[in-house]
Amino acid sequence: MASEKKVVFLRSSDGEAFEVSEEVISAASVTIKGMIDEESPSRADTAATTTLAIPNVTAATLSRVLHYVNKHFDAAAVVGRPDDYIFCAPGDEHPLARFDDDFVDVDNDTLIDLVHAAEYLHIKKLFDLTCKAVADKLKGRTIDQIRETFGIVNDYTVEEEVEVYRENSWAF
Amino acid sequence: MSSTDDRLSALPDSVLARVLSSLHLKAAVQTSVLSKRWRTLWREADGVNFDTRHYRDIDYDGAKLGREFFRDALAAVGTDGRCPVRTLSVRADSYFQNDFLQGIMRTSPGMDALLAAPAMRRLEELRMELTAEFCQTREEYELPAGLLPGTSLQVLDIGGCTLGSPGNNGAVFRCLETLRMVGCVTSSETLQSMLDTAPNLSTLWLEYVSFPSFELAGLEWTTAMSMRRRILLRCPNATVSVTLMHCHCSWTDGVDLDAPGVRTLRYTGFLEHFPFSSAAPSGLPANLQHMELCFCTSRCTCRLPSRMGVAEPRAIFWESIGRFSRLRFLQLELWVINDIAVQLEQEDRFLKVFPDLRFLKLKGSCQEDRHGAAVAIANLLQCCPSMQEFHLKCDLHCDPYAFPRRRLKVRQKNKGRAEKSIMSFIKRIKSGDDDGVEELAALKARSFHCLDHHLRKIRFEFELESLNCFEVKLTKFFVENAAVLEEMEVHDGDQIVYDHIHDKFAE
Repeated sequence: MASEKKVVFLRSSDGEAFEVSEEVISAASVTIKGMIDEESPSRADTAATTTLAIPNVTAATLSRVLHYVNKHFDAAAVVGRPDDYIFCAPGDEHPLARFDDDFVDVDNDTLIDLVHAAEYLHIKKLFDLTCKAVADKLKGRTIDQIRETFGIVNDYTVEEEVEVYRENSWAF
Repeated sequence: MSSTDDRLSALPDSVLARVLSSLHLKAAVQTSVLSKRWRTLWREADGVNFDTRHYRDIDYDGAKLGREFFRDALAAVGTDGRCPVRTLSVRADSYFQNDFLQGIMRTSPGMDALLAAPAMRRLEELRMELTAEFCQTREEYELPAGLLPGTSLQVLDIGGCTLGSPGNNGAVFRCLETLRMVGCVTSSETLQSMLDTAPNLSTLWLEYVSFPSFELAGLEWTTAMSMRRRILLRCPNATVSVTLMHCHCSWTDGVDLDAPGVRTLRYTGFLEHFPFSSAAPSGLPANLQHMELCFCTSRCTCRLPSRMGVAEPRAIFWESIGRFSRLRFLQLELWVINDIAVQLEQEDRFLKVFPDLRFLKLKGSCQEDRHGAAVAIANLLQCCPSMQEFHLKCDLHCDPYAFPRRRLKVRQKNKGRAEKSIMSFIKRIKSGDDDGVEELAALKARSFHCLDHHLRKIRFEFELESLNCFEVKLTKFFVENAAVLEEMEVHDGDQIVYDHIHDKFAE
């Protein structure tokens, strides 16, 4: 049974192909599941494996995303054996919490690449995780620090800026 | 990375709104001055988080803080162009006495007005956590169930408050999937009426929930104790996971569950309050597969005069747990492990087999009666013929904060060597002294199907009391007898086993 596991190849925007289990990626990514479902009538009778182009995601990001996907959506990898029972109850601190923390402990550019990829590939858990990580980078920083960290240019005129402060004065 | 390349602001509105949804409201609003791009983005965030800790008020005046807090909250959700709120979290904290918290939460217009705001009509998740450093009664604020947006609410997660009656407005919680109450007060009728109107509730979590009874309030303690009743909670068929922890408040004599669909149970409390009695109208949950149990047994139950007539722990234990023949995962925490030991002559009467059980975790002290602990472990091995993984954590009567410092992990390819080195280690420390083997008599007396065929992984944690302690003998027994063992971890508090084996591997 295990030997029949189908794989698909994902080709990144810079042309690198990555192999991933079809079952795992379909469970993770709504976008790719859609692509596979569209493809499937034509490949039912061929043994050839499918290669899907992922035009918006670079190889560096895609390999990170697949690392995440294999950790989170491949039950076999979590427990070591495919038929095994996952020893994790709802409400537990997730056994992958540590992995998640390390996963998003990256520089701003890498993180934003991951947000884009998670959004494009429609991987909800990864999208939530990366958005939360961006928010954590904003937390506890002053407006000037946020501008500096992310290179945000203040395009308000002085009058406009005063107006915005006034509008939301209660929050400052 | 170029600092002029503002990739954050280039993200789509929906993504930035999601980012702002997990910020505290003030921080989210403050981003409006970053640049024009950010001016109104915060209004698109469908998650709103309020926290009184962002209101630095040095006066001991909860009502004043409450007025500011709710004035801002109501203004923020009432702002023109604000999108409907999907998730709302409210956290109110008092570093002082509970009257400060009461001052905040009884502000009017306050929490009730916030929930009634038009932007809340499609609220899906409500989290509320109220804490006071001192004297919290959990009656500082009563959340009226009738005010909740029943038609859209999926998650209700509240802590430190009272859940008030839904009233007569016929609130229905059609979408409610998760109900979690921690440190709350409510009446069993209120909770039951919520459960009755929430057909899709899959997760119920009750922790430190108390159900005050007005009948018992004026009575003398011993009379009140003797008049306490068990509460029966009927859960919808959709409920698959129930957590019931520390709900043995002084007003009730335990909580029973009628929850035929439950697959996971987490329970902490008295053994005799185990929440599935045979009294449940729809019978026992047939598919209960996962149990995490933490029982108070002999030591604490015997102290209370009202519990003198209660049956022996082992009888209650095996009669309660033995009925769940579909169990796959069992985590069991006891005060002393020998409490559940069943001697040979009574095995037929008490022991039940769990044919599907794969994982067992046992935690407790072996010190009171080592022989009895070995009997209990033998009972469990015998009842779990297809167990694959066994964790044992032996508590010593020592520093509860002690933490094992080293660990040893042996993969399959090293199993032979590990075995040899543990053997030589044990041989060395025992130096021919064979006393106390009878402690393990119950284990050595027979063979176990799980040891012969299935047990692949063991993990033992203990404080090494002496080099010849019970736990070392037990480890030796498993290494010698688990025929298909692939992986073992030993966490000894004192690192002696680790160091020894480490030396051996280094050779």
